[in-house]
Amino acid sequence: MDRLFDISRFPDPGSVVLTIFYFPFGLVLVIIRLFIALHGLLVSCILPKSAATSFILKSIFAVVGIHIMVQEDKRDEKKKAKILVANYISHLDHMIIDFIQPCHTPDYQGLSGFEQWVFAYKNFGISKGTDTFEKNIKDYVTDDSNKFPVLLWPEKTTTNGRKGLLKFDKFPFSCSSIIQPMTIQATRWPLDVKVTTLTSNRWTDFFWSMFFPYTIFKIKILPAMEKSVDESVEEFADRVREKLSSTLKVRMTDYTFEDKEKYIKKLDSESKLKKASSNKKTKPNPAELAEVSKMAQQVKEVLPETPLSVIEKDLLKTKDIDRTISNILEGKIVIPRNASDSSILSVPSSIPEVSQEIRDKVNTQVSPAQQKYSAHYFPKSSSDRHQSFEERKKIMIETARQIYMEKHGLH
Amino acid sequence: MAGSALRRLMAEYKQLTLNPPEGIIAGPVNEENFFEWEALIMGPENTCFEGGVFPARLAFPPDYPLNPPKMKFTCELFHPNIYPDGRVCISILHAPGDDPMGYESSAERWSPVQSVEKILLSVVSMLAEPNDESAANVDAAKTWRENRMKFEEIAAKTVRKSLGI
Repeated sequence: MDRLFDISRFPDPGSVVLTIFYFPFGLVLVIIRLFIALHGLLVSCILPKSAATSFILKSIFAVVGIHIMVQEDKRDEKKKAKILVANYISHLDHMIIDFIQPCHTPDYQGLSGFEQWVFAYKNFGISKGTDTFEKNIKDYVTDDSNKFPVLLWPEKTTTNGRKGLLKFDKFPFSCSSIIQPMTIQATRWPLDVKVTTLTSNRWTDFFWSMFFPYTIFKIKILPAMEKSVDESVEEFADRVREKLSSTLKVRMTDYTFEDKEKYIKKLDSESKLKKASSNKKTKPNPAELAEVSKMAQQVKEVLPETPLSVIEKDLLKTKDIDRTISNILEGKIVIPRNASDSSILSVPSSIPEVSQEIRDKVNTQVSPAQQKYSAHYFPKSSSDRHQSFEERKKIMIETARQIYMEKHGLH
Repeated sequence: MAGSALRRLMAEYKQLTLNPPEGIIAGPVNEENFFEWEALIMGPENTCFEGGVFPARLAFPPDYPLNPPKMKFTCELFHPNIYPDGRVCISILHAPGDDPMGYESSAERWSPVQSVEKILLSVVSMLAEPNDESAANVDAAKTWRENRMKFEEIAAKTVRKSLGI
């Protein structure tokens, strides 16, 4: 899965360093190109959509640093396809394809009118729901007065275009019996900095394209494919997909665009966790803990009334016995009432922070003394073992507490 | 010496992690020092200690399993076989040589074939059935013998305390 997408724009640390050196030039380039691109926008507004306009825009884009290379053109003039399908590698794809084969690209995501205009999307009414959207596209395709085909991405989301194709959505193949498949791949020159990353948006993609000297899009236009009479939509979609994957020389995967979203969420939560644990200095290592509990015992000898958990918590911050003692004596530390049981070593510290995860594992059906608090496996690393041990302790205590409270009607 | 003790303790830890006896959890406090263990013991059912979770520490000698570990409850436990400071007094924790009380047969004592699991199970049955003949806490033994009501009351308080309620 992770090979289908690029998480970072930069393939290796070396390219990051080079980019930093290049940054001032890049910035100047971006500013100059931005003005040139504005002209492009102007051209696209004034001139009607036609092959000539596309050519002008293509030249402007070449100056802006987006070079388009058509590697193969097997368009069949007799077969006029109303639907273009292509693999999806960046948010600039549709403009690139538009220059080669003028087309309309429906807005999939419900962008604002301004963004639709700047990035040349056509509104097919996605904001009114997928049903209206699909109906509008079908109406457009069947209406012969419309000259331009519609570009659709059956993958529905971007990949890096180098490793695999996602599963295809059936909808594009149900619109029309003739489909014009295309493939698109991109590289950058001189550094192979990625055009799209897993979570990038169109503005950043566009910025980086203007920033780097050259971005090369390679396009192959395949012969139009026609759905045969006895072929189902699914079979037709599969046939097109095979064609695309063999042309791109990538694998067909079983992932869908939903898997990509899940993957993004997963990475997101992982990085949040990482951030949280690095922010929280209070996640001490075992050696530190041992040290702290040793110091806590010394504090405890001086102040036997104070619960150990409170002492340890403060020691983690101060790392100093005298300071903790004076903190406690001066009343800077709030001592929770229910933790005033001083004699228990491990229980009070674990009670206030019972996570939902632990709660889920609590089984109150069986008496706690008859349950086995075992782990499914014995972890190899000592920190994992310790974590499992701590977790099982918490589960046991929480189970006992819940059952006790239920039994005695306490809450 | 310590190497074989470590191996043995690791094996026991694994056993106790994967297939612990009911209502018992035990393992090293932290793995920097494998000779200091922590155990949680549930009060056995249908006894006055039912529902409680009692934490204890086990300190293993470097020549374990030739010599038994020392066990000490880190919570208050008013019990005939537990010293007021928490130390546990049961025969399995005594090496065959020493016999402070003088009335334990050597069969019940520590030997290398015993294990942490057996110690903890003995402690559970000790909680269930105090042995007031070899009292470590005379006060508790007396209360257990003469004023069972009061003993149960104290035990109930201990249970609540152990749960932090």
